[in-house]
Amino acid sequence: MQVTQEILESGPKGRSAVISPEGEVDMHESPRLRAALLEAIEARPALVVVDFAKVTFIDSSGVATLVEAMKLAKAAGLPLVLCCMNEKIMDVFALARLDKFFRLADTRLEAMGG
Amino acid sequence: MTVKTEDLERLLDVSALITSTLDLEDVLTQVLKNAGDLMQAEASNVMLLDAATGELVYEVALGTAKACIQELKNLKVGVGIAGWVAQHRKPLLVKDAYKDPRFFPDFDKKTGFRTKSILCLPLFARDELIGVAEIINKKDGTSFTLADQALFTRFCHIAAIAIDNALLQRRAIEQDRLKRDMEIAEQIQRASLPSDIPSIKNLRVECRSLACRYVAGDVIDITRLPDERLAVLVADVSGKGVPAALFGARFSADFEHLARANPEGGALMARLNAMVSRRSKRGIFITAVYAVIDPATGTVDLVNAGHLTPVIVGPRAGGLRLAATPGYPPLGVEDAQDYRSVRLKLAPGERIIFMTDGVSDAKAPGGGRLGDKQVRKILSACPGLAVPRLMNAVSRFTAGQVLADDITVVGVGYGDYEERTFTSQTKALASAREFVKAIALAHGFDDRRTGSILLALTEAVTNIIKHTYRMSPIGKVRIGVGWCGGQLSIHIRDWGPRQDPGRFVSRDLAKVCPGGLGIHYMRQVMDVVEFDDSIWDGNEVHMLVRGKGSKKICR
Repeated sequence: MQVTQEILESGPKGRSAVISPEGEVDMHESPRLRAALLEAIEARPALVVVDFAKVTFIDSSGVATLVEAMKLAKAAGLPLVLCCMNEKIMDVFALARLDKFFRLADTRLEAMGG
Repeated sequence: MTVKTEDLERLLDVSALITSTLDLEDVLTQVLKNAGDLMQAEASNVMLLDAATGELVYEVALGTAKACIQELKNLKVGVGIAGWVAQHRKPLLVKDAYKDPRFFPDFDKKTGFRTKSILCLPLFARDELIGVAEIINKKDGTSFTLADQALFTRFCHIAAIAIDNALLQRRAIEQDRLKRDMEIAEQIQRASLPSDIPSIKNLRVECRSLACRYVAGDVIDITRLPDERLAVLVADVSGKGVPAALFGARFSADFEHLARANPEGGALMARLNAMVSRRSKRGIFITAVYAVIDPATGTVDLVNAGHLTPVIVGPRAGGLRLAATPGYPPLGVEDAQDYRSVRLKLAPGERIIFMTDGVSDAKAPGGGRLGDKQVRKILSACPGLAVPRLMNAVSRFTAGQVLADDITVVGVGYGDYEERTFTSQTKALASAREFVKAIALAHGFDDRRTGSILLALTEAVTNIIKHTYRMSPIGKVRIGVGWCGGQLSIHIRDWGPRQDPGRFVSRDLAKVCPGGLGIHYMRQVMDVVEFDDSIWDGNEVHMLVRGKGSKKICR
């Protein structure tokens, strides 16, 4: 799995961090996603977006990483939005009834508030 | 007869001395030393009753007797002065030994010692005779008197309690040692059971064994032959416990040796029979069933020497038939018996189950027997999970009681089945998914459903890596995937410490927190998830999921 981190200085909501994991997120790979998310939250942007467009699989360790990030972001007063999930990824969140806990967006543009 | 105050004081002193240790030899030495001093005797000895032989055994002697004690043989109850006392459980005072017909002068002849007067008393503890104590010749040359007898009687009461305590301690130590030996024997026997069963495409092999008394007389051998066929032996040595286990161990070695030379059933059984006949002592015999199974065709070459008839279950729920063969006698009964195998054929999805009679004979706490009818009902209800469900049923039925007999169950399923072994490392998760993904897609699961199956698989394997192996990378995880009757089955086996299935529960979803979702996902995604703790050296989880268009699944 690869994780790309972009900082968009002039997003609709201001300076935004976009995290784009790519491939499969399981217990072996989720520490890398966690590190990227914590780094992004610590930088205190106006918005954190996690783009799932290139994620082909996620398990409970990946979900747990996002739950932790969401809690940290909330505590820091930062909005965190997940976007571009395919139905397989959406199923994993829905099965744990977490689809209501996270802010979800269909596209990156929607996530950025555009 | 009264005892003088001065003697009572000495008795109290003696009591403190001889009860100050629990070592039998020390206690006996103290008893003899104090008996000699107290009673002013030239010699003294204590003989303990051996309950197994009914003989009196010389344990310790002091005075002149000490040098010769090793040469003395055990004494039969009823023979000699001490024997008479043991037989009649009464004290005996002999003023002149050579005038008493019960006196046995062997000891004097060997030692040159001259026995004159003897005072011999029975030793009782908890109302049972445990031995006799004897003092010989008063130092002043006179004979023992009734006053001596009264004092020695009181001394012997105290001595008997001290000796009994030491005997109990010795027995406790011996039992503890025996228990430890038996536990080691159990570990050794367990280590010789098939554990890492070879993977053969189209065959799913399961093996379970439970011993009723630490070690079992059941013998199992599962071998992949050079031509990829599978050879299975299940045998049951008559009797139980250590003798059966020892005979079984030798039989197992004989089997391995002979099967290597020629694994074909009839001839192999005939040679084994000759060997068992030659080695058999006290009428010991072995029932055995031996099968050679071809994974390409499902044919089973089966020979049965007086063993329980194997059962064939599946391919659908409720399907059951017996693997009937000519009835040959058990091994070791007829010296020159001829054995021949018969050929059966398994249909895809069928499973042949070999058992020992300990399964049907399993007893409930109330005394009820599990019985053949119930065993067959359990086996046929869900053929894909026949073996773990049977073991689970036996465990629930016996409710933790000591088993009535050793239990062995070996199941071999034939059909669309494949397995791979992975390391217990998180980096292996992706390869495990690749393996299962290809099979799921090949059986018509769409991409989304396959994703769900891979989620359940990943959660199960992650739990094993994290909780069973505690992230140790040197463990193994074997994943078996089968397809039968529109149903995909996934079996995930580990060799880690045994886990309590009661621990595996879904967490409360109302609490949003990291972790604890794995079991929930598995149960949500798969139609059946069963944690299996019936394997002696690990754990297995079984998961079933319906394919497209398949309505029925056995629960």
